Amino acid sequence: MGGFIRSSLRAVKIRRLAWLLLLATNTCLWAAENSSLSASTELSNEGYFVLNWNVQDEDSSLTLQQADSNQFDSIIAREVAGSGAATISGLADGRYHFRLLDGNQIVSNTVAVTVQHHSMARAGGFFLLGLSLFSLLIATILHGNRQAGI
Amino acid sequence: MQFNALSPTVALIILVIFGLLWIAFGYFLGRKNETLDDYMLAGRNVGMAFAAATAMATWVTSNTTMTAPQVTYELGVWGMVGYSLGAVGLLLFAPLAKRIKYLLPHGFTSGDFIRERYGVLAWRVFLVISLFYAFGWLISLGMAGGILVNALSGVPYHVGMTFILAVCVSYTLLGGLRAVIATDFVQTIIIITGVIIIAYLVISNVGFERMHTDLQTERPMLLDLLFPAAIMFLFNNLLFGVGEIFHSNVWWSRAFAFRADTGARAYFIAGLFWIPIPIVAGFVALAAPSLGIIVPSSDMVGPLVAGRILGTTGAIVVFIVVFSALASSLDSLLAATADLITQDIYRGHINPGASDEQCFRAGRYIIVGLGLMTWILCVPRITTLASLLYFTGAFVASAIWPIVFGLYFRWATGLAATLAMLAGTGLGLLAYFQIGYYVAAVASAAVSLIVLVVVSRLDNSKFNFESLAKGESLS
Repeated sequence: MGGFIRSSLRAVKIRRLAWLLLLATNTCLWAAENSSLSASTELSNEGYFVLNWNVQDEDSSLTLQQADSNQFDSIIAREVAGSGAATISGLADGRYHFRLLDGNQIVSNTVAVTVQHHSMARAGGFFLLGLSLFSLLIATILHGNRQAGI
Repeated sequence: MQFNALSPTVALIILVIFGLLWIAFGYFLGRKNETLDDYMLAGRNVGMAFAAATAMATWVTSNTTMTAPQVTYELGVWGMVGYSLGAVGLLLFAPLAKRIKYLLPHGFTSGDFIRERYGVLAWRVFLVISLFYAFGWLISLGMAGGILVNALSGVPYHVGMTFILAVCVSYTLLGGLRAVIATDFVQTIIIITGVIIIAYLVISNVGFERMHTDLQTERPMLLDLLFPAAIMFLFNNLLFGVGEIFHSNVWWSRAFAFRADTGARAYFIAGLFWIPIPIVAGFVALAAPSLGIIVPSSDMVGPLVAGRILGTTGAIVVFIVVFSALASSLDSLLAATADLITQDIYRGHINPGASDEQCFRAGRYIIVGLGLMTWILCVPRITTLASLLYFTGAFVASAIWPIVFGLYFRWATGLAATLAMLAGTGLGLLAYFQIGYYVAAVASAAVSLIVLVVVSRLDNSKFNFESLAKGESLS
């Protein structure tokens, strides 16, 4: 019975130690990854969207990395220190990944945004519709003026 | 890092100097106002130079100087070109202005025409559309003031927005349309001079080759002539501009205020002078990637880039130009919207027997009320300038065909005009939410045209234009 109690107490101590270790690890992880990065949309049909993050330290030298794979092999980096948002625009079709770094340390989660532009058929349809309306408008005003003797 | 080209103190000094200048000007000119015609329509006797200047200055708004860079930053080269197509509205309004002055020599507002031409139901629908648009534009102007001051100097958004609104309300209140037109003349000279200086500084400070290379690497779609959303935007912006100008009392009140032989030429000249301004303003935004500027909200890109590349002197020029552009539109819109509410809501609905003296007094209270309402709606800064502005595109584009057909042809009926405006607005809003802001006006104008023609053809009644020219119920 006594041995059972001792082994139970030992098990409790080990569990406590494990919890403490886990807590300490999490705290370190939170310290390293302390900016929550988010995107205004997951799918953009225009190639632009807004990235937002919480600024923890005004004096940090944050960099926003953009890559076309989640391995971040080939990156475009932008200095974003002091800012809490960035509007990204002009991207071609593809899936883009973003994360924040402070120096060489990753300090945010990774977010991904898919850019899929409208089809050319849709774009051409609206273009032609607009052109037709514009042409008709000019013709109507010219005809109306002639009729009214202006 | 957000870079502030001006210190908050310099920004506030400029605001105070120009604010006092405009208010003093408004007070000086307001002393000449004796009748309602003087206050609302500057005595109906505005000459060519002032007419062209006020038309151009009013159309060079915060939308030109701040939304044009935003649209360029989002939609690239076509965004910039598409924005300049907004000039078409002014050019096409030139012949309309002559027809308006001929048909309604005693008219006060665009609402007068709709009521006399199409009847009460269409008039009420038109008033809702027109007032919704007016508030959308007023809010975008108020917001632009706050964003401009914040982007260039770091002064909080609410401080700049409140100050600029207060200045414009004050001098519009003191001087009426006469003060608005006179300040517009001065503001036009400032805007044209400032834009030339900015263009020169941009070209001498930023290399085209570097910008091109950086854009191709980081933002390839901004240079792509087959950018789908931008292609859709081209005629949408054109029709949006046409809808804004054709329906809005800002432009109708000027058509009534200008001399009979002046309106058409003034609008045409203003349109031609306006074309290059959004091109220059939009071009600035393309330098943002090369300069490594982080743009928190795309409607801040113009002042942010200008402040960075032009230094403190350039930032002061930009600040004064945009402040002038803002003020020239805000005052016009305040005056014209107050006229519309005075004439069409107060005299048309609340107090039909109101004398000119009562309308004169009511107009002043309405200007203050409009200023307050705008301030309240600007405080939350709910969206970006372009999103707010193009939301109203669904509304205004639905009024293009009822106005044009109504001015020239007898067969357009009141029921058809009412249904056209309702259906156009509804489908335009659907397109706005389902596809994007860059198609709302096209969809709205297309649906409005079909409904107007089909429903009018089902009814064979013909309107008698002579009843308009008599102007019996307009005064």
